[in-house]
Amino acid sequence: MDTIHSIIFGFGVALTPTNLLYCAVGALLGTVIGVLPGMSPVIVVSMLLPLTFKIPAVPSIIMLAGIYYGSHHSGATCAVMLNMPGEPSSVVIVMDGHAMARQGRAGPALSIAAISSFFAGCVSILVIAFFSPAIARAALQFQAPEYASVVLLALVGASALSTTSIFKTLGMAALGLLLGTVGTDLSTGVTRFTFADPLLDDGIGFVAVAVGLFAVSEIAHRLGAPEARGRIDEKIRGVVPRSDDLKASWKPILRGTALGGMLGILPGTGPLISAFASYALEKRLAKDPTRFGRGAIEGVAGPEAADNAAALTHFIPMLTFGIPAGATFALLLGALLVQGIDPGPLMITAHADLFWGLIASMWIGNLMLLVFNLPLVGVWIRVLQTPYRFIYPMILLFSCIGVYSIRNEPFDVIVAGVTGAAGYLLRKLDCPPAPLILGLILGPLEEENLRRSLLLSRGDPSVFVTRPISLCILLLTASLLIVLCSSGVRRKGDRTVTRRKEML
Amino acid sequence: MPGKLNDPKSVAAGAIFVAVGISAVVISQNYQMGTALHMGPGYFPALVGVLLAALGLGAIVSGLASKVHDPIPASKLEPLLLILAGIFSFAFLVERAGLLVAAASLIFFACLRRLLTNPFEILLVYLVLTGFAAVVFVRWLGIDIRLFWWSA
Repeated sequence: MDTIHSIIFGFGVALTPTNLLYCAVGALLGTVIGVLPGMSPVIVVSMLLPLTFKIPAVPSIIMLAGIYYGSHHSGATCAVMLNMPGEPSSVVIVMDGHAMARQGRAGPALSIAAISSFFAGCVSILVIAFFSPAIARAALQFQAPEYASVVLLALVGASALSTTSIFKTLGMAALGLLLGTVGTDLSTGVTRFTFADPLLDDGIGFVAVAVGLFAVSEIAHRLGAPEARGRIDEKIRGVVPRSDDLKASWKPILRGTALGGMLGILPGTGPLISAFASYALEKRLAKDPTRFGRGAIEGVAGPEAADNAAALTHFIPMLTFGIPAGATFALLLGALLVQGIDPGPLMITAHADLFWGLIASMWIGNLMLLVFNLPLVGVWIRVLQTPYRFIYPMILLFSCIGVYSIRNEPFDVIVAGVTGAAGYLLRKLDCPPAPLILGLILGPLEEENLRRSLLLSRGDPSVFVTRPISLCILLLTASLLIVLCSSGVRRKGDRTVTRRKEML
Repeated sequence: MPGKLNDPKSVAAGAIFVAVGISAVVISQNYQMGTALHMGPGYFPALVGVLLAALGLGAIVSGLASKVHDPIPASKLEPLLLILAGIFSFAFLVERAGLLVAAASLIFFACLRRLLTNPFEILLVYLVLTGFAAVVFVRWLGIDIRLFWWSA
């Protein structure tokens, strides 16, 4: 009952004109990102992050969240119409979604995808609303050793999506941790690795690094090796799905929602893995598995529901523990820190308006997406075909303006450029950027917790395994690592997925 | 050691990691290490440096032993260099000459390849983007950037 009151309170926060506006802008931007080639939530969030420092915390988080889940909604449009995933997690939908489009059934595919997304969204939001306070209360039991282990879990989890060698992926995370030590050590006041440059006293600046790593290096990569553009030949005749489409879809939608909702709660596993798992599940459960790959609606309904459900429950680690589940969340975490909000178990009660307002606005945003995506699908298809040569100057200019505006320092822009070059090089060597940004943002937190843990245990490193919760977390991390190692070779095969996944 | 290097990417990446990791450990010696009980500022960077170097070593070894042929793709450096020129020129100009000039320089370099074939298109892109930025970011959101070189 308490939760119901809080949800109503949240709607009170979300329904103010300002927050509604930012929610709509976020959802709209997210949709555009999901549809445009060369844009991903990480790029746009890092681009817009400095601008959100000028506006209060609640509208900015509402907007940034909208960008994130909006892009998961519209990734299906690209997948169905262009045979290309608009978002990494929509790669599964390409298979049956585009097959349906080739059969002239693009409309029903898109509308089923929209309905799946909305349903999954509603359920996941309820999950977040009802379970987060409980999870946060449990998280209060966490002390420094548990936090240190959980950060490790987050870092390994973020590496879980990588298809390259485990050494390179974890190496990027370690590199990020190291870069995070540049600057003033808050505990001792000593400046480290600044090479006597006072501009580095506050650290390297995660926004500049994010912009460089994700935006700049991606643009350099794309311009250096242009991709073939898909052409849209399919027309959309009717969007209304047939009744047998709906009958075939409702169970996959339920299963996908459950699957995605659960998998999204852990850092690392998320929308992409949930979509794959849902597809595999539906195929296994289908009476005629040979239909899959040739236009089976279950292959669209289930994965899309799983994708969206996971995308939303992926917020839970950040909102309850203050641990980001992926690169975009790491940036959101950074944004919260800059706004002076301390993410962690106490955030839900200390900043109730932020938490409940966010939840309510997620629902409003999901509703907006359902209502606007389908009627406007013709518009999105035209947007889809925007040539990249109009997109990348915009990303570059807005990113530079944004990075400069953080502290009016041209140096930060230079950092973005240098990081972009480094990111380009590392990308050529198949080193994924996402673990680095997580390491960068979580580094100080990890060091602090390590320090406190060892203080608590009087210098005894076994504290991490003698405390039960910490031990469980470390075991979970270890099993994730083992899974990574063993399937690493197998997953090297799929190149399209590899390239898309590096954006995460 | 097998004659053919199948996985130069891992070896190169590993080499970078080892180099950075060892440098980190070396530089950390300048800061107090402290003990495990009282971690000094040098402790964590050195620890991570060791970890990074170890992972780099792992990458090198796995790269040398790899049977999957995965060469580093050839790529044109030109786009990257042009983008860097654009970004660095923006950084140089934004406080000296204002946003409009800095943006022009950025877009000039970023679109240099197509400047002679599509000059008007690029000009249009510049006007639209910079106009949008000036109105929305500077005037409306209040970002503190000089627009012109004569502005305050």
